[in-house]
Amino acid sequence: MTTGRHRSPTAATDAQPRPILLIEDTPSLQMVYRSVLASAGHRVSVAGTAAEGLARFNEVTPQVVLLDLVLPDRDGLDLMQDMLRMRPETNVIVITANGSINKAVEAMRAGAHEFLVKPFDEQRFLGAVENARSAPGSRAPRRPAPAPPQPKLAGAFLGTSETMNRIQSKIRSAARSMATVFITGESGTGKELCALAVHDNSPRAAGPFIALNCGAIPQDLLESEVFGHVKGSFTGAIADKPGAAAAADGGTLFLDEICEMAPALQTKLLRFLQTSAVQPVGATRPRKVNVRIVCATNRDPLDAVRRGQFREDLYYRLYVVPIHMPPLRDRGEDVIEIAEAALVRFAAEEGRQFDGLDPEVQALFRRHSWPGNVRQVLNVIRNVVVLNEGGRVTLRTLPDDLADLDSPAHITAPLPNRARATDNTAPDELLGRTLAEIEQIVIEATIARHGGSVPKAARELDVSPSTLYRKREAWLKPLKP
Amino acid sequence: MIHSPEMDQHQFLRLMELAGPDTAAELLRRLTADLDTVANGLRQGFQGPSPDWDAVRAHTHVLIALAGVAGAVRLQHLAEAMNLQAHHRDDAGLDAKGADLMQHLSVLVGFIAAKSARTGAS
Repeated sequence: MTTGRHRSPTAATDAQPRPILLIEDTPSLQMVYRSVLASAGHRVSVAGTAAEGLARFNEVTPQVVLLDLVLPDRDGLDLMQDMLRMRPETNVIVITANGSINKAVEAMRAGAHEFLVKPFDEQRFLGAVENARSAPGSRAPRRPAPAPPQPKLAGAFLGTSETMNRIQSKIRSAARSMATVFITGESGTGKELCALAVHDNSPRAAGPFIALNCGAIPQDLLESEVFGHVKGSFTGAIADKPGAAAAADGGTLFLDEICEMAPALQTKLLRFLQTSAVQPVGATRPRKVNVRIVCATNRDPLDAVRRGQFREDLYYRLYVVPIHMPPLRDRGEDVIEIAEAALVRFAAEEGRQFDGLDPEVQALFRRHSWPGNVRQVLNVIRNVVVLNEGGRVTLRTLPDDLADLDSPAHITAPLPNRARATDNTAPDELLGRTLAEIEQIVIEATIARHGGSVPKAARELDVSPSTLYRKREAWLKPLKP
Repeated sequence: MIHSPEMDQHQFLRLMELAGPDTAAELLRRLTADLDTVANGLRQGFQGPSPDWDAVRAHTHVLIALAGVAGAVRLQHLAEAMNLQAHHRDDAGLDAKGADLMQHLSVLVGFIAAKSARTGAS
């Protein structure tokens, strides 16, 4: 935490407010946060583990909980969800470090009141606590925040290109029905924002929006995450858990990376879609729920069907209203609009003053292919805002790797021509194969060319190493007929 | 070779002020212990033919916050960069970056330990 002088304006005047619960496992940080809170007049109860935190939570019934998401005995996000289930009116502020922002966003979606990124300054820390104390308790049952701050500012729906106008019109039409929406598109194009837009424009907007990333949850836990479990149904099932499908009752269930779902679970999902009933692991009878399904993938779902990785009958049940999120490079001037909007927003967040994009920067942005799409633009702008004091955004202020793209050495021919010129693989050998097979051949050849180094191969292929790890894992687990 | 940490002195003084005279020594003791734990964890994480990225990620995660509260600005930035690198499992320039990080960490540990000794003695 960086410190500044600040005293809580209201803490001293409150008549015996309930203590704030601080759950942080690093002893010195625990002591610092407690000192800051105490110096502002707050009473504090502290815990160093999730188990201890839960015990204190039941003991002191705090209105505000400060929760470190990384704890030694349990995931902080799970703990938060348990606490909110027990007392939905609690305002939880989650604390995380810079590299784990995604987790904080996930926590916001799951109902956190606010998140703080370490190290934070004293004023921001106390400000967040004051806001949480003065905020009304959440509804019961708590509905996860419909518009988490990070994705909203992602700006996927900014832009006035004809392509995006068509997408928005399609979303408005699809939202009104109960039909399943299947969203496709490259990483970073805003598939989850699209799902949220479908939900928010639908008659079930007041209901919950539950998002589940089928590719991020270990396959052996996925069934329990989707359909829930009953206490004692397996080792570690220490309490009943409703599961995402039941939690989404009356609202929308968003299944991201649907093509990564294990075959056995695909069968159960199909049965769920046919019967609208969920049966938690270990439960003896199913329960009816009213859920609208929206799903997404960055793969070609039909190709996954052809490869035997995705059930054909499930595909046709889900692929009712397809929406394809276009890559940013196909959205014309939208990149400028998104970058300008992000600049204003991030500058306000960081307390800085920027005067827009230099024409050279705009020209570079138009030329760039943006393989990471909107997410990549936001990262570039965030980088500029954080590392510069203000003024006009020029080529000099851009991250080196992006500015370097403007050098003549990097202005290259389109990929197919370049491949013909440099690749040893004869194109004839690839003809007749599916796109997925070609992708696998190229990825494996690139990894081999780098002596087995996935990170190096990922750099050359301009994807994240985790993408390659995930793909390779999927190739090792083909669907049994 | 660096001999003193690149510190935000105001930040460090405010930290001591917040702790107050009664608990400043205890806070410095805990900081030293936490930094030692991180240093040992990172040392092990960097050992071996390939780094233990999970360990590097977990310990830099803690180090970001510890360096931040102590006002060790340069170390905080190095920890953030290493944490990002661990997330991407990217070993580019790892030896040099790891050595730089460990050196700054070692200097901060020495700085805090010296303050701790002085505070404890006073």
